[in-house]
Amino acid sequence: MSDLILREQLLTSFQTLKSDFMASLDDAKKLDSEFQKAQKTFAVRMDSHIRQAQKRLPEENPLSSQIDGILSAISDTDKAWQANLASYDKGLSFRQDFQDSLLVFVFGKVKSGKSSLGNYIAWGHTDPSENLKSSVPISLQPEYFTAANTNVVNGDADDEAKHRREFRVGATEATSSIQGFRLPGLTWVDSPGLHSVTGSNGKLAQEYVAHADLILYIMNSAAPGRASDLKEIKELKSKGKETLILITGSDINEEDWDDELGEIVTRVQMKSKETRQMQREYIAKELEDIDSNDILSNSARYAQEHLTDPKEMQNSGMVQLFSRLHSISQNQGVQIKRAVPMTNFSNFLDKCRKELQPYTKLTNDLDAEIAHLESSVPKVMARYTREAQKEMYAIIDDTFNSLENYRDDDEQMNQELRYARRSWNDKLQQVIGIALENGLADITKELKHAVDNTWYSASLELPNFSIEKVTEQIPDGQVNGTKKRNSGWGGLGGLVAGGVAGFMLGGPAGAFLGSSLAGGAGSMAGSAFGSDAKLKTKTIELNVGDNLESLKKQLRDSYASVVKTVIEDESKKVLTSTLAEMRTVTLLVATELREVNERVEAMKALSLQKIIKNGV
Amino acid sequence: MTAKDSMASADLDVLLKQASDILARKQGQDKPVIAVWGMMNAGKSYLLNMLTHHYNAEYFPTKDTRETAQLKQFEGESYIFLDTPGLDAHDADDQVAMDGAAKADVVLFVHQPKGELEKIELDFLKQLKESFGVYAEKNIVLVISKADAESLEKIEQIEQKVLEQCHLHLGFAPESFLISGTRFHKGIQQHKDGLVKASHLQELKQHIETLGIDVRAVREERIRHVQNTLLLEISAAEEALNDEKLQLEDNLYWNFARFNDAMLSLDLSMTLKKVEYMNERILGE
Repeated sequence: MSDLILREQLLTSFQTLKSDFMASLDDAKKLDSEFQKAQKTFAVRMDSHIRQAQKRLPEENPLSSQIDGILSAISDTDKAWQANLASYDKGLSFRQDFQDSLLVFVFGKVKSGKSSLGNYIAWGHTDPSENLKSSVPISLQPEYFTAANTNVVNGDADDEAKHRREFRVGATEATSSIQGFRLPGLTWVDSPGLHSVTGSNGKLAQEYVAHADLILYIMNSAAPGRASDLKEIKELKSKGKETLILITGSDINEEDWDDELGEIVTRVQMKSKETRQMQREYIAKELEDIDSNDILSNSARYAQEHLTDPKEMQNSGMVQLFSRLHSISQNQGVQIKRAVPMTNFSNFLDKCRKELQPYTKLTNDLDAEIAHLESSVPKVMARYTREAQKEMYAIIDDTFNSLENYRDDDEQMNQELRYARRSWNDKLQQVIGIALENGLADITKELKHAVDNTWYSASLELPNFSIEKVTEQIPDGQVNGTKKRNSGWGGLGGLVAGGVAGFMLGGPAGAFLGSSLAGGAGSMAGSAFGSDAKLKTKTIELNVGDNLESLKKQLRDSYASVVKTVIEDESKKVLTSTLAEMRTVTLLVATELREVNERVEAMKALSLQKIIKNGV
Repeated sequence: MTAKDSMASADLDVLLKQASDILARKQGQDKPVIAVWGMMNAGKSYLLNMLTHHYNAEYFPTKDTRETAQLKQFEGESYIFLDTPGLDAHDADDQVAMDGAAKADVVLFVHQPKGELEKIELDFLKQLKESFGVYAEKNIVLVISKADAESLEKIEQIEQKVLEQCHLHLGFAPESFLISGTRFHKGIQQHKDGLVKASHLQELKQHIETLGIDVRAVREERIRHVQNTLLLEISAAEEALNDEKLQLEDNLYWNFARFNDAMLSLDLSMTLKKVEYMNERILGE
């Protein structure tokens, strides 16, 4: 193996790992701040569009309260959506110890040498002195923590490792809690054993196992491959985690008798190569399907006595462990871990995109419904116009039937016509009023229907948001109730009255006086009417008596034309233009949504790119 | 189902066989059997090699992994030495080791100084103590092996802790020895008395001598214990069998209850019909 490394190099490589992790987190955070900006811009612009539109709504317009309700509903939908987004945890962090570093979870029996090894990794010594600890630079000082304490007999006191900043390695004490230490880029966690942990500790241990990049199973060379150890390893292996079996304490005390001193002299030696290999082979055989590379013999004690001798360091097996840890830090699992915040954020963007879909659909559907309604206004009004015209024809025809009797009496005829005109004008006002009423009732009803439909079909899954609330805000159509009706068409009475007044003065009056309407005097619509309703005037020649039929026809046409024009004009002003106004809002909202969706898509693409770049 | 198939009766069969085995056991005037017992790799075989003077060639093979899987004995001048498989090396080994311990008159419980006694060791020791009855305190001897593996200070710390554990869990603290087989071996081979002395092996030997083992008494005590245990287990099995029988009878009764009801009503209706028929005949005449 050419890439054998020592503890210092390993720690350096972990520091690099840590900065890689931090860089990944930064990337995710940057993207999130961009997202937040986009979200905020969207919110502000939406709010502004809606408020502007509400401000533009004419107070006296009968559709105003309905449109206002729709706008409020859109605004509420938007707020609910924003609140929903805010409620998500974007996962823009590493979970401490589980995700922010290479996690090594150490298993093994009490006294198997777990603590000695942990101390060796942390401090370079199995039983570090205070002097040694204080000589380690701050940046490389391990930070100890205790997760939970099981009530094992002879267990250590709560947080003992934390206070002492090392694992206990006494002759008889046992480690009973999940405890560990952090070095930059490395989290080392010591387990009291799969079967010794219960309750909350057990759950935590499982979680550590799930997040571990390496499970280190430690057996002591004094009794390697015990049945209970093998059982536990098989169970751990079944979780599909990268597992390394370490036969610690693969050393012996070589003793001799010093005759001069009269005492025993001791020297630590590695167990013979053959013995170490035999132990590894025995375990490999018992575990059946295990790679012999996944079993290492080592001795921390030997390693610490030969710190400066590369050959003996390798002999100690410690260098191989370091190399293994180093290679794991470069592997895919750790890369995936590194990308965790970006992956979380990427998933968040997915959720966001998914929720934008019904939102967008809602806006588009609403827009389509209103557009449809807008185009249907003339059709609806045309129907009522025809009805109104029919009524006008009926009253005019009636009058002319009775006029037959006065065919020879011009004076009488004119007298009768004058009376008749008064009632025609009353009727005109009445029929236009009714037509507009009915048309408005139809349109408001359809508008409510359209809004109901779109909100129901949008299937927005938003918290604290109900469709009932949306439709409640939209008042029912103004079908019944005279009070509403009057307020609905506030300007109508005066308008029609004005039209009739003009007709009275200008048109027929002149005709009656001079038996014919000459020049511009016979204008159907008076100036007051004309300027209001923008009627085209036309010259009518009346030849009373002889031209009674023709007069009747002309009057019918004139009144029909007034009905049509006034209704057309009024409905255009009151209904069509308001609906068009509403549409400008829905179109704006749709545009905003499209823009924000495009930005989210772009961010999603960027996040994927970053995740891939991180080597996953 | 037949009684033979039932769990309780299967248990009883095993127990009865054990009982006849015990009754057939030879009560001979054998030499005392000294067995080593303990976890795998505790150093049991190595210790026996030293105790039986196998310095150059191992009689009891040793290895740094699981080695002894069967009982193996060596008959010396005054004792029979029995090697047993290490505990927790292999599930099958544990039973063999239990059988070995059952045959022993003295058990040297070997513990290597990797901390105090583990729970599994304590559990085995408790069973062993039970089986020795009144001889437990005397005839179970604690050997802390591989005393060379740690500093004396640590070894003594471990010994003290282990004795405390024994006191707490077994009710007595056995005689204990801090043995280093390798020291003894090297001392003998290189004629270094200092090492031999520091191995404490001679002290263990002397202790065994002073035990003055009354083979007949120990075995009677142990058999008596096994018999008592068996008797208890047999009566428990008997009780279980009885429960099973009651349960069966109960099931039988309930399963037949509807049939019996039906038969009863059939019987009743037959009687009624008969009465009707008789009446008609009388009236008809």
